[in-house]
Amino acid sequence: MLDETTRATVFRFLQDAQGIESLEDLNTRFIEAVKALGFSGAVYIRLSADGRVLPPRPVFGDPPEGWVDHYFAHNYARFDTAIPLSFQSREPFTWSEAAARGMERGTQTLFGEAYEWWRSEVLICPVRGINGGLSIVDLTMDRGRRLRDEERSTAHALASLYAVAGEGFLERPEPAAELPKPLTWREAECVYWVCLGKSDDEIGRILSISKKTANHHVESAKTKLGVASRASLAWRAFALGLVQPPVF
Amino acid sequence: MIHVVTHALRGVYADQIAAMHRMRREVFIVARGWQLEERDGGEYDRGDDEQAIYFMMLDEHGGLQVSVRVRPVLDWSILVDEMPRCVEGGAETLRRPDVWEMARHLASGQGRSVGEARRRAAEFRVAMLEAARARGVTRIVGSVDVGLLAHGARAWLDLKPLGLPVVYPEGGAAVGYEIPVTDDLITRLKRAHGLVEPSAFELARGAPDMTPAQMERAHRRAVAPSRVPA
Repeated sequence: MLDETTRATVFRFLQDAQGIESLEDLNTRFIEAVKALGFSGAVYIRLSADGRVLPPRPVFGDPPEGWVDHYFAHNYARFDTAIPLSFQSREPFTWSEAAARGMERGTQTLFGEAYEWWRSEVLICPVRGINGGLSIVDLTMDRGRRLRDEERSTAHALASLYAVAGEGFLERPEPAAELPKPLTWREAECVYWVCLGKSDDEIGRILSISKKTANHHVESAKTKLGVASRASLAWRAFALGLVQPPVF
Repeated sequence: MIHVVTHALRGVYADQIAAMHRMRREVFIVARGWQLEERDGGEYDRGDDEQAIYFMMLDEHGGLQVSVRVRPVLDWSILVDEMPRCVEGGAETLRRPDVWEMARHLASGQGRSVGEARRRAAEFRVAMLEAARARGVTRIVGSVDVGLLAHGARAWLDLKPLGLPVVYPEGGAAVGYEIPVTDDLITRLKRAHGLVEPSAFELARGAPDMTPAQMERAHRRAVAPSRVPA
C-alpha cells in the first residue's frame, strides 16, 4: 500500500494534469509525482500517430547523452523487443522483461549496452491514444528493484495522463490517408473480433455466418489494409482508429 | 443516430438487446476472463434491471455495432458497491440521483473507413451526454482499465480520475473516473467531429410501428446531407 503522502502527490497530478498550462510545469509536476513512487526520471517517446509508425525518438525527457545517436547508428530498433511488446501489451513492462523475449544476439547486445549507458532499469508504460496513436513513457529506476502491481499500475496511470496532456503541447502529425477502399460493415465487424483473438470459426458463430464467409471477410480486410497476417490486421486497424478498444 | 433504449422500449429492441448480451459474454467472460453471470448464452449483472438504459449504434439492417449501459448510481453501481476503493475520499459521495454509471461498453465495427469510425465513436459519446443532460444528470462515472485511461481521457476530453488505480484480483488494474455532463463539453465534442444534428434518438410513445432497421434507414435518408463536412 502506498503511503499517504505518495498517494496525495500522485492523485494531485492525476486530477490536475489536463489543466496544466505549460509543458515545463507539466514535466516538473510529472517528475515530482513519479519520484514520489521511487522512479528517478522519465522519457516520452511516440511510436505511432494517426496511422503512421514513427521512429522511436524521444519527444520529452533526457536519455543519456549520445544514446539516441548510438541507437539509430546501429539501427537497434530492429532488435528492440520493447517496441513490438509496446504494441501488444496493455500493461507496463521492464527492459528486463522485454529483453527476455529476444532470442537474437542483437537484442542481448542492445539491452546490455542500454543498461551500461542508462545505469538503470526502465519501466515502459505503453499509452494508447484515441486515433490509433501509441506512445511509451520510460521511467527509470534502480536495477534490481522489484515493483509491486500497485506501483506498476499507478506509474502507468501517471504516464497515461502525462502523455495525454503532453500531446496537447505538440504539433499534430499529418492525419492518416483514407483507405483506397473502405471496409464493408461485415469486414469491420470481423476485424473487431480478430482484434479479440477470435478464429474464423468463432467469428462465424458470433456473427451467425459460416467459417468460410468469416474467412473471406478477414482476407478481404487484410487486402484492403495491406497486411499479410491477422496480427498485423489487428494492429493496423487499431493504428488507423478503425477499431476502438472496449473502453468502459 | 444513437438509439436510447429505456425499459419501456425493450420490446422494440429485443433482438438488439439479446445480441448485446451475447456479445458481452464473448468480450467480458470469454475474451477477458471476468467472473460474471452467464445466462441464456449471454452475460448479465444486477445492473440490467428496469433502471438500465442502453445506448446502441446500429447498422442499416438493425445489427448491433456499439453499445453501453448507463444506470443511476443511487441504489447500486459497480463502482460504488463493487469497487469503492477506486474513489479517493469515499465512493458513497457518488450515490446521488444525478450521477450515472456507464459500464459494459462494446464496440464492434463502428466504422468502415478512418474518418467514419472516429466520427461515429464521437457521435456515440455525444448521444450519451445529450441524453444524460436531458434527464438532469450532472456526472457520468465508471471504471476503466489503466491501459485504456489515456484513450478515455482523449475521447471524453474532460474525464478525470476519481482515485488511484486498484489492482484486480484476476490481474490488471482499474481506475475510477468521472465525466462532467455539460453543454460546453457537448459543444466541443460536436465541433471537433463536425456533428450537427442531435445524436441521441429515443423513440417517442405513440410513434408509428417501425423496426430498428427501418428507423435507421429512414434516419440515414433524412440526415444524409448534413453529414457532409463543411
